[in-house]
Amino acid sequence: MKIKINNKECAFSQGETLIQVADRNGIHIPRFCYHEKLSIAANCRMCLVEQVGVNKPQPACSTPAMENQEYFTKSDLAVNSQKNTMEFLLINHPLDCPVCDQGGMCELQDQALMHGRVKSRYEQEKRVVLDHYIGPLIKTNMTRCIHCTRCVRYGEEIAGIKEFGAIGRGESMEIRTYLTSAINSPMSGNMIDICPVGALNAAPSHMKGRTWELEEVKYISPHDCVGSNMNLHILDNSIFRVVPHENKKINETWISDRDRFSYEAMEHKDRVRKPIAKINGRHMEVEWEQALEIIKNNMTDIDSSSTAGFISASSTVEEQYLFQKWLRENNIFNIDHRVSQSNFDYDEEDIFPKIDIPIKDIEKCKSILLIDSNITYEQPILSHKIRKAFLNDAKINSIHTYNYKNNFDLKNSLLINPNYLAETLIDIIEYLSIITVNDKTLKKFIIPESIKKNFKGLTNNNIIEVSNDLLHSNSIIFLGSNLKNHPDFQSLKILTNIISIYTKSSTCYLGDTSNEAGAWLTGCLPHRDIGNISAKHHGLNIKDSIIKKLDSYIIYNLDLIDFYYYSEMKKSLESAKFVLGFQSFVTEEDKNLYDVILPLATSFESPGTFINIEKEWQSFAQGCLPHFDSKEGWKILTKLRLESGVQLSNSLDYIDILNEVDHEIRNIKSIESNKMENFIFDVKSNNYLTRTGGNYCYFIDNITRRSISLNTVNKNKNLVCVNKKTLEQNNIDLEKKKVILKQGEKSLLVKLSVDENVSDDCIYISNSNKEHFELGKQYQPITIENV
Amino acid sequence: MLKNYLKSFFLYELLLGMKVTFSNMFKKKSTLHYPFEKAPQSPRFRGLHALRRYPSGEERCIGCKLCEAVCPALAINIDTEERNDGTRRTTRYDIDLFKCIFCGFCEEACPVDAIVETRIFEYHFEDRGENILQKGDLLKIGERFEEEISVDQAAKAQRN
Repeated sequence: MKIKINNKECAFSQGETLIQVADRNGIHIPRFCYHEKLSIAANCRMCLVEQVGVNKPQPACSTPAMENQEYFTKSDLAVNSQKNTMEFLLINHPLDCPVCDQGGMCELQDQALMHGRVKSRYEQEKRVVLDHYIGPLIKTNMTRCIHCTRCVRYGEEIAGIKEFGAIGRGESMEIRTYLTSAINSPMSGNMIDICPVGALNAAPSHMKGRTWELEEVKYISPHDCVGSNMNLHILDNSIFRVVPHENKKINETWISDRDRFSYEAMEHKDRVRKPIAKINGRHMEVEWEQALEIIKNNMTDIDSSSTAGFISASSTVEEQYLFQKWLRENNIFNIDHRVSQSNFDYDEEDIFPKIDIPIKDIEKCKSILLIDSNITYEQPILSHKIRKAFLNDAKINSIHTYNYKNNFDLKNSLLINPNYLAETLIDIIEYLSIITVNDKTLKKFIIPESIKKNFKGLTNNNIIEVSNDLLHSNSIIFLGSNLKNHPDFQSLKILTNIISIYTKSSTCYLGDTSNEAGAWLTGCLPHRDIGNISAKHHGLNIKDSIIKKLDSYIIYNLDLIDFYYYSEMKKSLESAKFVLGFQSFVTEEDKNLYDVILPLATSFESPGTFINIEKEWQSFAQGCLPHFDSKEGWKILTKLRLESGVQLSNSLDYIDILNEVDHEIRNIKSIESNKMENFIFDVKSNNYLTRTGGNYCYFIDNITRRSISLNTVNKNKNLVCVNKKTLEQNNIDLEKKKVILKQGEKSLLVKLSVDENVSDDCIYISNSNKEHFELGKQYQPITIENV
Repeated sequence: MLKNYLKSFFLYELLLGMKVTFSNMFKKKSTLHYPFEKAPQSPRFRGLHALRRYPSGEERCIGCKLCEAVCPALAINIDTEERNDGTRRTTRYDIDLFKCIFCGFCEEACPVDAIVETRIFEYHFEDRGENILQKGDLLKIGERFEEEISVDQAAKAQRN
């Protein structure tokens, strides 16, 4: 089918609008309200074009292309109507572009130049709209709004949380939140990008620079496990702002607020500015040479079998590769990155964060099961894909310990105590084993006896429904990243795997860091070597390394509260002879535990590669030079390797290291099957009050927890709540609103609120501040007392 | 031949030259006794820079950085931040006078007539670093010569 635009013949398919055909053929039509990813509103009237035979100009965004029609975008009628629309838009828009932050990248400014009149004829008073506070991330200037309603449609359609709306009519119409409150969506920052004018601005970079001075560098998200693509905008060697980079396979044109605003942490007061060494019992700033000298002396003295190295799973592949290489060359085999994991059973056959289908195919799934996953806040990009599936009529079920707020609706939501998670999964297996008994297409699979003995007959209708939904041809199970803290984590993984075999569904083990897959592939594990093959020398896993109180520890890019065994770790560090830290950030308190701290450049300041759960390798260039006296990780580690006497044939260049890593592990197939023969499972009848909650999404790693704006978004982030039943069972008097929580020897006075979203016998505590981490571990017994 | 001979004999060419010399002896002198006398300047004269204030005392500059962007010699350096009242203001406004070529583009680019080039052309530096005029210096120049600047600005606006 063909139409003619400006006498140029263009092919189109049924249902396409004129603007889509024009865009594809490189014909420019001005627009404000039209956006590729949003629904059509046709309310700005900027895209008016002439259709031959129709005496009125037509809006190109909502006019479907019609066979054999002729259109003109530059005829007198079209140009005049565009000019008139522009004149009306500019009546109420302030004409002070130099004041506005959007100036230089403003769609209105550009189009006024191309399609507007030269002079303004309007001399009366202009409209002024008051600004309302909508949170610490977005700064509004609503007088500049032209009512294109892109932000409103974004909130309804993409973010899925309807917070913005148009209130009032005619001249008194304004775009604002319905109630004066901060915007809560974890992807709200995208509104800044889609706003064609300067009405919505990024608050942290507001009025600090102009668009034309910025330098753009492509970068990969250091916080989520999908590897969202983004662009860093650099001004004077520091990050000015972060914007999305389109990648159709992963993040489309959106990024989460966490990726957008976490860069603020770079200038935090905790940043390690110079190497720090403990000399005669005092911590002082030293020069690099002196620090390296101290490390060299200590590395020759230490007992390598009594040394452990822990690296963050947010570090780049190159750093992880060099880290384990340096340690193994020094005969240190106690290497681990699984700092937030509590359970290490069935370690040998373990599998790492992965997804069985490409990320872009999640939206095609017909049934989705979430297992204790707060996915909307933890992995906003994946949540967006699930939302797309939901809009495609997928059935979404969730088994969880807290009714998390999602941007899609759940069909069944099973609210259960975390101690019964494994039992619930066994219930599902029981039902599936009955219903699929005649299915010949299933792989021959025998349920381990230890599971069978827990079969007790089905009573719960929800479980039947959840299982039936999973039997749909296209289903996927998400295992939440919070569960790493669960004492039965490994069992849950195996049970999930059994369910996926029965239902032929895909599984996705969510990681909570950007490069967990990389850490597995580079062999930052005690039992796996480079390329995820079984290691020659097995070391101690992180739990044993911490509990056995070794002589020396090497910690790479981790805060102490990143460790699940936080309190044990602290004691071990206190008793250790030598503690070396490679840190970008260190708190005043933690500093005293180290003997030497080397200032490490953050991943923003260093080139690197992240591997996402899809096993997609994504490399990025150096955004800016390292701040203060810090150095890139690969440089420090290569220097240390040279100092420990390794002969390196290559010159010290980043690209050589990237090639080496690439050559060693790119094409290696990894062990991916869970063997179930040795699986032993005991249902523990735990009837104690349990702590639940997981990590707060803006407190997950050393960068996000230091980003000031992000951590002021949610005023209720330190929420501690229980449901009414638990409250009554524990005889808590809520008149004083405060209670004492006790975990082991630690206790904490907190404000308690009643929330029916918490399951029975649970206290929901989000790990959103240091006190909550210090109180104790997740999914462990906790007691509650009156003040 | 004879004509040339006579001309050289009576020093004709010398007299012709002396005629110019002697006639100028009685003409009005064009030399100025600088620094006691100075040549007139156009209102468009492009001398030392100044930052202006509004009559209320508020600085004009809104930190839009158009002057920085237009400067062909890259002589201007600006940092901005949001002030408490929500307006953008400069926290740094440096002009390197060694780099500046006094083209006047900054003045032309300025949407609020904040940066202007005054009639001052007599200045000197004694130490390295003095060549960089900072925001405070520029504002002081503006305050001191505001009367002159405003008259010049008005004249320029009229001619346009």
